[in-house]
Amino acid sequence: MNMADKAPHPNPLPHGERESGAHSVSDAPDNAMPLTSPRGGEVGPQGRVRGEGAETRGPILDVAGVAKTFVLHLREGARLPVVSGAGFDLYPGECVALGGPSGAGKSSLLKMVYGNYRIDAGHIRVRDGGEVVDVASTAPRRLMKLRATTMGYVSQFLRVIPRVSALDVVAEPLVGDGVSREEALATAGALLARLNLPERLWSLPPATFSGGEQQRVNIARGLIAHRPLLLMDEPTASLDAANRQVVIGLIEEKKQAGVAILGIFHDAEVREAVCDRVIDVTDFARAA
Amino acid sequence: MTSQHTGEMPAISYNFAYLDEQTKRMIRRAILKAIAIPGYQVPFAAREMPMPYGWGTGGVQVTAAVLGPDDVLKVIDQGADDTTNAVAIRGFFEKTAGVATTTATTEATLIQTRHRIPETKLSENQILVYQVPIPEPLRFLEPRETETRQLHALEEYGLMHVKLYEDIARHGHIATTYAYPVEVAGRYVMDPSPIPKFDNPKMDDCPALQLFGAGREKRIYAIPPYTTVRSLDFEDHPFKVQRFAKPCALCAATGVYLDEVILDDRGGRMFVCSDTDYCNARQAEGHRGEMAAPVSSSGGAVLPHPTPLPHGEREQGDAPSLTLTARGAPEGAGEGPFGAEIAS
Amino acid sequence: MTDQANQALAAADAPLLVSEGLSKNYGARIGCRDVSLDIYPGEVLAVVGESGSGKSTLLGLLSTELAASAGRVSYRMRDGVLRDLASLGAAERRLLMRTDWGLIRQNPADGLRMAVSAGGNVGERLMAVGWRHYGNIRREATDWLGRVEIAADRIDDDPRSFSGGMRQRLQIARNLVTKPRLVFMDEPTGGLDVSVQARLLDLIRGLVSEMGLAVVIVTHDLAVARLLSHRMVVMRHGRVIETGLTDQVLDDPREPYTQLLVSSVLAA
Repeated sequence: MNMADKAPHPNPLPHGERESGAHSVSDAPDNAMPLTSPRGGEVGPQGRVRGEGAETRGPILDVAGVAKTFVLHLREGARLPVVSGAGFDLYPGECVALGGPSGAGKSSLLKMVYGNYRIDAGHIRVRDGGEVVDVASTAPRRLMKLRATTMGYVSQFLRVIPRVSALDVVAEPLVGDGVSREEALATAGALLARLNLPERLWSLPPATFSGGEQQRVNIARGLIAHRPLLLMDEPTASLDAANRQVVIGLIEEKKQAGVAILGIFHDAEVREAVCDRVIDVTDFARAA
Repeated sequence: MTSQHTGEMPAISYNFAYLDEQTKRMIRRAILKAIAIPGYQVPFAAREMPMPYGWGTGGVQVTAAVLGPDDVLKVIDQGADDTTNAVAIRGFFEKTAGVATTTATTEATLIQTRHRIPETKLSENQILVYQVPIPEPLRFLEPRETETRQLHALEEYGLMHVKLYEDIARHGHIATTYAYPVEVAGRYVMDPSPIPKFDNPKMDDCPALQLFGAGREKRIYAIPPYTTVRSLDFEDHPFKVQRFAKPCALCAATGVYLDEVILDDRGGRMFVCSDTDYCNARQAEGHRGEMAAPVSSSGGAVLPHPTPLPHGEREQGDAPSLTLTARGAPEGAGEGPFGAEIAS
Repeated sequence: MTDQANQALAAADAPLLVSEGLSKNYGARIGCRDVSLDIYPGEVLAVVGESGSGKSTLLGLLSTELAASAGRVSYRMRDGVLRDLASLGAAERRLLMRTDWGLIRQNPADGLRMAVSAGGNVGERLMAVGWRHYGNIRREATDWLGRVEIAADRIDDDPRSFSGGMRQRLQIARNLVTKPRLVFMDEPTGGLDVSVQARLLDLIRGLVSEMGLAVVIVTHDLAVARLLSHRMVVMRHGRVIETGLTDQVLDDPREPYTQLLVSSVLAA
């Protein structure tokens, strides 16, 4: 079943108009994105998978019994089940890929974890310092704070903000963390340099950048600040081989720093390089 | 109101000071309230008066309500006792109340005024009644009466300073020269009627009771004797009164408000006291300005006062350059009574 | 909306404005029914819905421009005490409105003094709170004109000579000059050209973030809500039918009406 083709929900706005706020550095989910990745990785029989290198401290992300069905009221209340009984853990320092064929609900599941899609049942517990926050039931304000400090999201597309330079776009999360603007801009510059974004572009708003350039700005923005849990939706989709290598390096560094990463890695080279295991969402989708 | 010559019609008799007693009571109540709340505009049921709005109907009603048979009334218009408006109102009360009238500030117990405060300091046994065209000082910026009342009630007077700000922004200084807003007794902001701001300091701590009547707008307000009246200003643009470069051309008085009188169409002009009574008194005492006639041995005739330009025109800086004839000039005085030959 | 906004969010965990069971009837017609919501410091709340949904009535009730038929609105005063706004005297309420609050109206002519210079418009609130030094007022006004991208040499021009976008920016400066904590905006970009809208939204976004303002913005434009707001309230027939983080409501709308609203937006 291909969810994307059935337009599971009325997708609201053109990209250009969607602007990010502090609560959402990511682009809006886009189910129309073709996912042609072959399924890969081992999946546990219950759909609950645990990596071998898991730390003993306990998971930073604990997904259990998650179910989601889109109800399309404009189409006589048609029901489009996405997942059911989805569950898995994620531990600090590991990188886990969501696998499965196009339309299996990988992107949707990632958005549920981020709290972008609300769920009908289950828990999505994120450890935030000494506290555990259930994304599914916490107050919107708490979720905002969780996103601001703990849970980052790197999407496929950059949400362009008019009149804001690439350098400022990248530096913004650091500034939000309280880092001085000067230092944040320096860090942002270093990151963009590493991602081979020509320096002459730094001071320009990224609206006119190519897809690959925008994605690099987006990755830099997503990775510049420390967030213990990173959600990545096809971070390398538009990148050439050289830049894919840079991103692989950046992800490795994040893992070394104890960051847990949950992502959709369509590119086999990247997936094999960074992922410790793969969770196949086909079973969750089938159950729905 | 005119006298009857037709014979068969009975002579019209008026209640004392024209208004009926109930109306006067109503006005007195408004006045008492106004005195109790200095600067506050008290609504009252203004009557139709036998004169058009703009001719002092508000002031006339206030005067009528406070006038007693023993009062001595003085009426001035722009400082002069002998302009049409002043003469008409004085005549009105002579006819309807039979009170004594005077032009001497010191002799009057009740002075009704339009656009000036006498130069002679007022005393405790005097009442000064102002004719007010627009009583609401905030009207310039806020046309809604409901809102201006609210602003007064809550003492929100930022708006008044906006007007002064606009003045400075546009002219480099506070260009408001008349009807300059004041704060009364530390509370209400009040329009002092279109007196020149030169007169504003005279309202402060004044021994006389000051009453303000607006007929068309149906408002009465008051400044009780010895009340603090402060002209609004900015710290870096303090309130200042006009200064005149030269003394009065007729009586040589300084520190008084002068009117500009245009003498001809070749730029000839003179500055003379706006307060005719004050000027005449000084001349009678022997003071002589540079354009005054020398003291004559016979009769000590006081030089007649020329007609000034009305405030509004002069202060807007676009006074028409028309030659005004001398007011009250004796018949056959000939051309240019204040001409070069007199001045020299 | 990062910067200080986030810090403000993290620091202030007490709501700034609280409405409880707020209702307003216009005779038999319902303007607004049983609306309860909180607004926190530094938080932007969008109220969306189509014309007649009650969103403007709600804004009027929250800003105390309208009297509620039932329910109440409370505000955390600068001393930290949450007070029922109905219990404030008129003087106290108006002082609040011209110091701690701002109100940006859709039509700038309704929120500006059109016959008063730009500087006077910005300076009015300062004079209202007791500023009596012309030079300081002018300096502050000049500074604020700069912040809303109006050239300093326009300070003595009155807004009648300004374009729609400039007027709206002037209205923003006039409201923000007293550094309010809460700003109500009623369709602030309505009636403006798209390019002018984008500039204005960017400006608002920057100022909101920089000053850590709490904002209640009424809009029928979901793109505006997406750009500016953290949270969103969807209204229909005077009731709140859906709430959530802005991206939740827009990306995963649940109510039939919200789905209709979201799906009705033209993709550019």
